[in-house]
Amino acid sequence: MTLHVGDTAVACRGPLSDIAAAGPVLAALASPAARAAASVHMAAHAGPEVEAAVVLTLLQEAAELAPELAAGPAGVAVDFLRAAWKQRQGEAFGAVGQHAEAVRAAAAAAAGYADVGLPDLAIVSLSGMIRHAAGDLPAAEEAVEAVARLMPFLAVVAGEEATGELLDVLRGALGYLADAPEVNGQVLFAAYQLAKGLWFGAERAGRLPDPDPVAAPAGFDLSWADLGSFDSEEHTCACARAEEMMPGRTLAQIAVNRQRSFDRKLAAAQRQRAAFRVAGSALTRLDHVQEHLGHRSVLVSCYLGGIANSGRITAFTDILTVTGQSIERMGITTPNEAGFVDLQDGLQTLRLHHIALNVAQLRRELCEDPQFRLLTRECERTLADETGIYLGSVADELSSWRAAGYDHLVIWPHGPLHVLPYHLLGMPPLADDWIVSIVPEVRTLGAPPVAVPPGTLVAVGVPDGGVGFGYPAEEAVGRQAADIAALAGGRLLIGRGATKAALRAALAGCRYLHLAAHGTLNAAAPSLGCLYLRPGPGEDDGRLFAYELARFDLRGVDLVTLSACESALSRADIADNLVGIPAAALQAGARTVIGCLWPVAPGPAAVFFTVLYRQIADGIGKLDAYRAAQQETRARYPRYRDWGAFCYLGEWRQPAGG
Amino acid sequence: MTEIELGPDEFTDVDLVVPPVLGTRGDRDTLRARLSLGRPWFRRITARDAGDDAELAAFLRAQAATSRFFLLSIAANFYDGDAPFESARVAVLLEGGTPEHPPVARSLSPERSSAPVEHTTRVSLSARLSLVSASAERETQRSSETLFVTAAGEGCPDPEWVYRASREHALAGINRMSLIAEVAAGTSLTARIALSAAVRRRPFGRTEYRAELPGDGLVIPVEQGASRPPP
Repeated sequence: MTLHVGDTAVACRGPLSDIAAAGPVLAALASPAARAAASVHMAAHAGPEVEAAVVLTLLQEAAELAPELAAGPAGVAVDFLRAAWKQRQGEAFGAVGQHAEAVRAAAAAAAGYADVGLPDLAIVSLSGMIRHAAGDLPAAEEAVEAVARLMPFLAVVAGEEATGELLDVLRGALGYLADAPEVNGQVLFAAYQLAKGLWFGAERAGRLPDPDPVAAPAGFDLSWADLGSFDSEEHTCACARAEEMMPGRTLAQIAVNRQRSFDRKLAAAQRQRAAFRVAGSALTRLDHVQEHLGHRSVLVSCYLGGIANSGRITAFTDILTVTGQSIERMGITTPNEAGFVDLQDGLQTLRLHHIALNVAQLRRELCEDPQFRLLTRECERTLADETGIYLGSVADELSSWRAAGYDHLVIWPHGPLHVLPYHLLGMPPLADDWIVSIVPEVRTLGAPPVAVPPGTLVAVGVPDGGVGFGYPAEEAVGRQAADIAALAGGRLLIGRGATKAALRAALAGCRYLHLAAHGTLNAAAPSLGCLYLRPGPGEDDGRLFAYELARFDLRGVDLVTLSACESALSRADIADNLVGIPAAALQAGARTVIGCLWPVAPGPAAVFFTVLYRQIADGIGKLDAYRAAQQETRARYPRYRDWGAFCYLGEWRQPAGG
Repeated sequence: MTEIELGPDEFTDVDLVVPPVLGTRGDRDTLRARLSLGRPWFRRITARDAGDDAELAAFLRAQAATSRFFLLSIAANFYDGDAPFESARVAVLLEGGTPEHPPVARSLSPERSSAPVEHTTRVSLSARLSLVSASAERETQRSSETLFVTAAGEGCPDPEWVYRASREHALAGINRMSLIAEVAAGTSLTARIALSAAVRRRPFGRTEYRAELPGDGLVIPVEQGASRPPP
C-alpha cells in the first residue's frame, strides 16, 4: 500500500478497494496534517465496493485531525467528497430497506452539495431521496423536513425551475404521507408552508428592502394582453411560469412576452429577497397557530397534491382543519386524474392543477347573467355536484363546528383555489351560516395580530380614471367614495386630486384605505393588473399597477377595500406565491384586503362598501362588518354574481389597540 | 295532434349592451345590428283549438275549471359578425296566478337539439298539450356532443333556452321558441322576456351582452288583468 501525501506523493493507481489495509500506513504518518491529507486522498480514491461509512469515517477523522484543512481551499473538495459519499450511503441504506436512514443520508448529501455551490446535484440527491420515503412514515416526514431546510437556498441559487423540482420532491413526499393515519401535523404544516407561498409569506411577515427594483417594460401598452386560445379564467387558474411565453411572431405576442418576462423577473427578485428571511427563521408552528386562532375560527388548509397509487402519483387534495382544540386531516381522492394538466394551443402551454378547469368553469358560470334567477341552472348544478371536490368531508363537519360555536372559516387555499368563491359553495351556500375569509399565507398566524397605529380613512374615488383606456366614466364610484369618506370622517381624494402621487402622500396616518375605480386584471402578467386613477404629471397615465402598489408603504393600513373589478384576484405561480392587485396590497403591509372576485356592478358595490364602513364606524370589527355588508347586499341584490363577488383576504383578528 | 299557425314574424333590431361594471375585460362597445327579436306571439288554447284531436279537447275541457293554457312563441334572429356568437340565453319569467298556484311552463320547444331547428311558423300540440316541434329535433346520441339548444324549466315559472355555438353549427339565423303556460283560472298572466348573448373576440376573450330591452325584460301581458301595459 502506498499513499501519496504532500511531497511523498506517487502516482495514483486507481480505485482503492481495501481501505482497512491502509490503516497501518496512515498510523505511521507522523503529522496529523499528513494523516488528514492522506485520509482525504484515500477517500477520493475509494472504489464503489468500499462501504460508505468507512469513507465517511476517514473524512471525519481528517476533519478532526486538521481543522485547517476544511477551512482552506481543499475544504470544498472535502465537502464535495463527503456529500458524494453521503449520497452513496443513502442509496446503500435504501437498498437494504433502511428508509429513514436513507432519507437522512440523501438529505445530508443534498445539504453538502448545496454548501459547495452545486445546487443541481443537491436537487438530484433530494429527488433520489424521495423513493426511499415510500411507505415509511418517519422517512417521509424526514424527507419533508429535508426539503424544508434546503428549499430557501436552493430556490434562490437555482431559480424557478429548481423550485418546481423541489416542489415535485415535496409533492412526492406528501404523496407518501397522503393516506398515512398518524402523520405529524407540524410536519404537514411545514410542508404546506413550503409549497404554498413561501416567498409571499416571508414578505408579508416583514417588509423587505428592494434595493434594485425591476423596471417595467417600456414601449408597449402594458394592458395589451393576447391570451391566445385560452381565456382569462384559464390563465388565472394556471400556475404562472416562464413556459407560458409565446413564440413572439406578432407584436401582440412580443408585448405579452415582455409583460410575462417582467412578471417572472419580479418573482425572482421576490424569491431572492425573501429567501434570506426564510433561511434565517423557522416556519410557523401549528401549535402556535392554534394558540392564536381564536374561539370562533376554523382554519382549513387545502393542498393540491398527489397520492402514491399503484406506483404512480394521482391527484389528491389534502385538507387539514385546525381549531384551537383540534387538528383533523382529510383527503379528497380523484384517482383518475393526474396531478397537473398541461394545456397547449400551439402558442403557449398552461400548467394547471387537476381541478383548475373546474374552478375556471364555476367562475364563468357564476359570472353569467342568470336573468330572472339567482344563478343559472348550470351553475346550480355545478355547485350541487362539485362542492365535494373542494370541501370533501369538511362539509360533514360544518354542523358540529357550528354547534360548538365556530362561525368563521379561514380558508388557506392552493393554486386555483385562491380564486374560488368558497362562500358560495354548496346549496345553500356556505355564506348562509358561515363567514368565510381567505388567508393567502399563514406566516403571520403564529403570533398575535400586529398592532396598527391609530389612523383615519382615506377614500379615493375615480369615476373617469379609465376613460383614456376605453372605460366609460362611472359617476357612482365617486359618490361611493364620498359617502364612505363622509360616514367615517375620512379624507376624500376625488377627481383631479386622485393621482398616484396624491394617494402615496395620503397614506401617512391612513388606517383604512378605500379605492373605488375601474380596474383590470392582467391574466398573462398579473403584476401589471391595474387600477385606473387620474393621470399625474410626466409619464403618469393614471394606471396604478400591482407592482407599483407593492412598493407603497401600507404597514399602517389595517384594511384596504377595492371597489373595482376583479380586485380580489391574484394569480399564483408554481410555488403558490401570489401576484396581483390584492397580493400587492398585502405585500405592501396591509393587514386585510376586501375586493371583488369578478366584474361587479356599481350598485351592489356601493351598498356593500357603504354598509361595511358604516359598521366599522360604529365600532364593529372588520370581519363582522364584512358579514353585515354581505348580508345587506344579498338582501338587495340576491343574484350570486352581485352579492357573492366580495371576498375577504388576510388578517381577520382585530389588531392590538384596535 | 293539432297544428296552430303562428302569426307572421315581425322582427325588430335590438342592441346588445355590456352591463355596467367597474372595469371589465375586453370590449365594451354596444353590439348593433347583430340581433333582432320577433314580436312575441301568444294566444289562449281552448278546446276549440283541438280540432279533430278529441283527446286534446277532452283534456282542455277537463282542466278548464282550474287552469287556463296559453301558447307563447318568440323568435330571435342572430346575425353573424366579425365576433361570432358563442352562446345565448333566452329567459321567460311567467308572473301572475296566485301565490299557491303561480304560472308554470308546461311544455317547451325546442327541448334539446344538437343542431339548429328548422324555422317554422307552425307548432303542433299533442294530446296532453305538449308542444311538438314541427321539425324533428336532432337528439344528441353521444354524451360528448355539444347541444346546440337546451331548454330548461318545465314545470317552473322561469323557463329558458340556452344556445351554444359549436364547430359544426354557428349561432346565426332565426331560432323560434314556444311554450305552453298554465295559469290558475281567473288570474292574470304576464310573461317577461330577457336575452343575453356572449361573443368571443381576440384579444378580449369572451364578453357577455344583454339585450337592451325596456325595463327588466320585455313584458307581455298575456291574459286580461295583466298589471303592465304592452311594450
